[in-house]
Amino acid sequence: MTEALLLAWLGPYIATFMVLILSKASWKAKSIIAITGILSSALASTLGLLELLTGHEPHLSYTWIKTLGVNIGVYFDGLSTLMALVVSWLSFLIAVYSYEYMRGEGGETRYWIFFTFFVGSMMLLILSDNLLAMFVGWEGTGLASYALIGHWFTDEEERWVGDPGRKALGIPMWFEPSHSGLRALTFTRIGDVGMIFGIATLHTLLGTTLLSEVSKATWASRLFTAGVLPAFLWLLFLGAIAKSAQFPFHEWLVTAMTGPTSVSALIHAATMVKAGVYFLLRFAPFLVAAHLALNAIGAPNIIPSFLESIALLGAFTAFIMATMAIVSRELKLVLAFSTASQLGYMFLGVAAGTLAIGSLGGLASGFSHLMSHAVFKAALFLAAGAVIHAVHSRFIDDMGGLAASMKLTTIAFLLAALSLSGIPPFAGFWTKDEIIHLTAEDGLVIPTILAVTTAGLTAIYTARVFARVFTGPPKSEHVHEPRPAMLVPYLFLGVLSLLLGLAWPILNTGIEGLLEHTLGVQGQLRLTEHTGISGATEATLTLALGGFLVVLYLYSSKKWTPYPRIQASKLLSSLHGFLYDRWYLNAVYYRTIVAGFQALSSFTSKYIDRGVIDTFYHRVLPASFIALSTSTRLIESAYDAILHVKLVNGFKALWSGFKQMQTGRAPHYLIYFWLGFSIILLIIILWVI
Amino acid sequence: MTTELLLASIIVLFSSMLLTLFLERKHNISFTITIISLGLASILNGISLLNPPSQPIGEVSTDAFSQALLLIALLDMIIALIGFRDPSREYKHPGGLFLLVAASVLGLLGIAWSGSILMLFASWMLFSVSSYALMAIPRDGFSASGAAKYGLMGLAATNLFLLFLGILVSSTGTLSLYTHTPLAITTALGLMTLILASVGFKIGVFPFHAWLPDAYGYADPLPISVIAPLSKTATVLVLYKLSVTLIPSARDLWTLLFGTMAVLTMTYGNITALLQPGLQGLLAYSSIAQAGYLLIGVASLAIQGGETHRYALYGLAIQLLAYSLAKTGLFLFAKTLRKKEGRPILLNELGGLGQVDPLLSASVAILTLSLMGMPPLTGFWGKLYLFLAPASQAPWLTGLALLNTGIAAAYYVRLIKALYWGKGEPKPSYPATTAAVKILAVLTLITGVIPFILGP
Repeated sequence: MTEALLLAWLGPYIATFMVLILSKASWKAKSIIAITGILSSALASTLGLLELLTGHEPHLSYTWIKTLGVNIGVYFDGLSTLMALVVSWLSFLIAVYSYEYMRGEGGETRYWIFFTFFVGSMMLLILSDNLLAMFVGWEGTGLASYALIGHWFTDEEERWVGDPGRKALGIPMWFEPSHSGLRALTFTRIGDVGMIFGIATLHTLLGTTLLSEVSKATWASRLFTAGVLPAFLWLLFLGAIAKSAQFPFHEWLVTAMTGPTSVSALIHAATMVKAGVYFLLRFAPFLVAAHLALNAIGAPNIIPSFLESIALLGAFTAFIMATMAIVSRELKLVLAFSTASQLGYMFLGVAAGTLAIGSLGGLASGFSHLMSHAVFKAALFLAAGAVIHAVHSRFIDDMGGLAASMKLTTIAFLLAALSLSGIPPFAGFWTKDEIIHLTAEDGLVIPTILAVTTAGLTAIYTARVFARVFTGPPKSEHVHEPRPAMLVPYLFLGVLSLLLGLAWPILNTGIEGLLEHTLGVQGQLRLTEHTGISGATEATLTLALGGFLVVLYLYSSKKWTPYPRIQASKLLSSLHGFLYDRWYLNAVYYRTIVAGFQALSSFTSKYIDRGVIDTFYHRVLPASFIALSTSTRLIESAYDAILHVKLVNGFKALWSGFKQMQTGRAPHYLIYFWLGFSIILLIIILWVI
Repeated sequence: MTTELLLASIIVLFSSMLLTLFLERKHNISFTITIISLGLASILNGISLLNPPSQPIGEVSTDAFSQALLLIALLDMIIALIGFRDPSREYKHPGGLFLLVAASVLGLLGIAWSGSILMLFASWMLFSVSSYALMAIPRDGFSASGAAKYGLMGLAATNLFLLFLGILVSSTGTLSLYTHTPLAITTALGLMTLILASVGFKIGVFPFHAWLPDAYGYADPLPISVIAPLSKTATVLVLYKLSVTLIPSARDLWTLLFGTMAVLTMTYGNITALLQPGLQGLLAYSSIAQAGYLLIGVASLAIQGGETHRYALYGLAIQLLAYSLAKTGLFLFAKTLRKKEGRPILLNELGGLGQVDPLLSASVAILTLSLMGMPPLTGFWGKLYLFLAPASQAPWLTGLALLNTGIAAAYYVRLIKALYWGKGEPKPSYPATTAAVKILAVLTLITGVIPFILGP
């Protein structure tokens, strides 16, 4: 029953609709509907995997818009199947968690509507066989993200992100949910504009947006000869860059933490932000094909230099986000920075992998880290949700010593944290190691240095947050483990992270084998010409292990509190402030871009809208019509006079003239008779003659 | 067959005349006899309408058009007679009224059946004299003066008619009406002017119209209800019969002459009707204007090509139908409100009739609207075809006619306004007469459907 595969994205959408119409039902009923919808999606994805394992790629396609060549359906190739599995099963686990986490929190119907809508859109995005349907899913996830970030739009202070009252360069650095929702939408929208440009260009060139057509890369040489290929590439990938919170679009992900933690786990850690990475993974084989095409016409450097730029962007993003994480005071913010940082790693992985060994390399390294990150970051976020619920605060200053009362949560968090830090044998170690290895092999100096440093920083901030939350003296009472519906998902994910790592050698081969079935994958190919750097992975492992252990020791055993010492030193405190205010980037954006547009808008409103247009419509136009009608009044009165006075008088005069002919005397009548007759006769005869 | 029908009709009408003469005292019987004879004549006429003879037979010849006009006139007369039942009791010689009606109809019959000059002349004289006498029958001062003026003008006109006939006979060399001898242009023109004067005066062609406003405007309206439609019918028939001989010799000039006279007539009639204070005066000038419209139809007879001839004949027939029904009705209505031997009523005195007798007012309104040319009443169709006929070759005629129709609307509306918006308590008398008016209104409505069924 191949049509059942459609449930992969249709199931959640059906659940959305049903929750909508059953909005008056109980929390339990709605949750069950939603969870069932998502479970159907997960099962369909698994079915797709089983089909793929038999060696045949399921592909269902129904024509949607004939003229644009847009189909709707499912396409289960290697990449999309694996991605669908990760997304749908994680969504299922987090949905189960949400049932307990969001109970009694308000906005029940809204939550499930957008949750399921999100999952449906994400699955549609992953499983589309053409760019337009993918874009529909893309935008759907954006909408759901906006709605869910702003879920508590009533903006109570406990829902904010940031320190209330803190300003950087005059710009407030605390964010309410409604504000954050708007930020998320705006930042990602800018990227989407570029993406639409790219998709439209492809459609114009190819007449269709089918991925199978795009994979043939005929567009590459045509765009190159037109001289617009680099611009096209940057525009096309701008959507992915913004969606995955790479520099300079990373700001929205930070403030997205105003949403419920389950949402943060699902959308902003495990799935939606990975959409950009997915886009990059999808296009990796196409870029290689493009490179081959361009090679033939003598432009062998365009694709490699583009990939190198992507690699640098990813590495840079990873680095700056890690620096922001080490000074953060909010539990979810540390995790958010961490997510953006790891996304940078994924971008680096895809780019570096493709450069080193062709599309399969990029696919393997990028996807592997995507998967392992999804697992451990979801675990971390879900556990953080449990902690924040227990302590009723988002600040780590209010947490401490929770290991005693929340044992299982501690274990889950620790397992995931070790994976994040890249400690063997956890999955995170293997995937991060692969990425750094490939980067070094490509000979990309700056990205390698940044990646290695970031690995160290990652271990440091992870250890810091673990120690501050779970070790040390307890700061609050009455903390206890959450109920199983919440606990089981993240405990499971934490353990999974370890198990994946332990099974990695076998798993890796399996994944690579499946990925070979991806659209457009070619054989091995080295795109870069640099020589490799050695020693990178060793350095990484050393820094990670060392950093983690040292910081854990300092914070837990030695009860280290570095903050007062930092405040004392002028240099350190300004550095701290710089990092705390996110390199002042948010402030700069608001002061230049936001303020700039505001100024433009008010200028236009005041001078053009009110000054020109309003004046025209409400002063100039009425005045001219009044003048016109006043002038026509003159003509009117003359015309009126003619009709109502002169004409009437004329007729009256005629009438009285005629009336006078009737004298009443017969002789006069006879005279009329004879006279008239004679005159007529005369006239006629004269006429003829 | 044809001559038998003719003979039968003549016998029927003549016998009714005789009987009425002797049975003068017995009012009801003479009334009934006249109606029956008219009915019989209609039936005979109907038969001959369905099988018109194609060839002139001796001195007699007729065709579908003539028979149709005759039928219209006969039906109109029957209803008019119904209206005569009550008022005629007040006359000194009611028998005479019925006799003269029969005589006029006989004259009309003769004109319709005429095929030679002699027959035409005889019939025309019978008709004319009957109508002069008819107008005088009521024996009051107004009627007497009106009849006198009518008769006097008729005398002058008959002179010219004889002159006309003389010249015609000497030019064509035959007494038959259906010759095709070409005439010299001057002769033809002279003949046209003569006939225009001699028969045109009867319908009110300017400048021969002068008697009409005094006669129709002041005399007892009862006879006028018969004279007005019959005169128009008779004149149109005469012009039609003579056109066969005259038109071929002077085609464009016929249209020009008759067209110009038509324009003068209708303009004069319409303008002078605008502010008339009296009901009958308004109707009189309206008759003059209607004569102008009919002359347009006559003028179009000369236009060759396409549908014109058929439209003209059809238009004449329908317009005469509408006119007969309307004028009979309106003059009968005038009789219902006029006191015995009283003066003609004013428009102001009509006020309040809408409340007093809504049905009567509605009937009068319908008849007026028909004259105005309001669709879908009969008058509209008549005007439509009359004005359509010259449209291709002589559009100036059509244009001026339309303009005049617009001017005419003004005084017809005055009449309707007087009915409904005035104040007062008029008391119409003579129930049979009012009934006749209502019947005529209904007929106007019904006959409005004819053009859909029976086209040109």
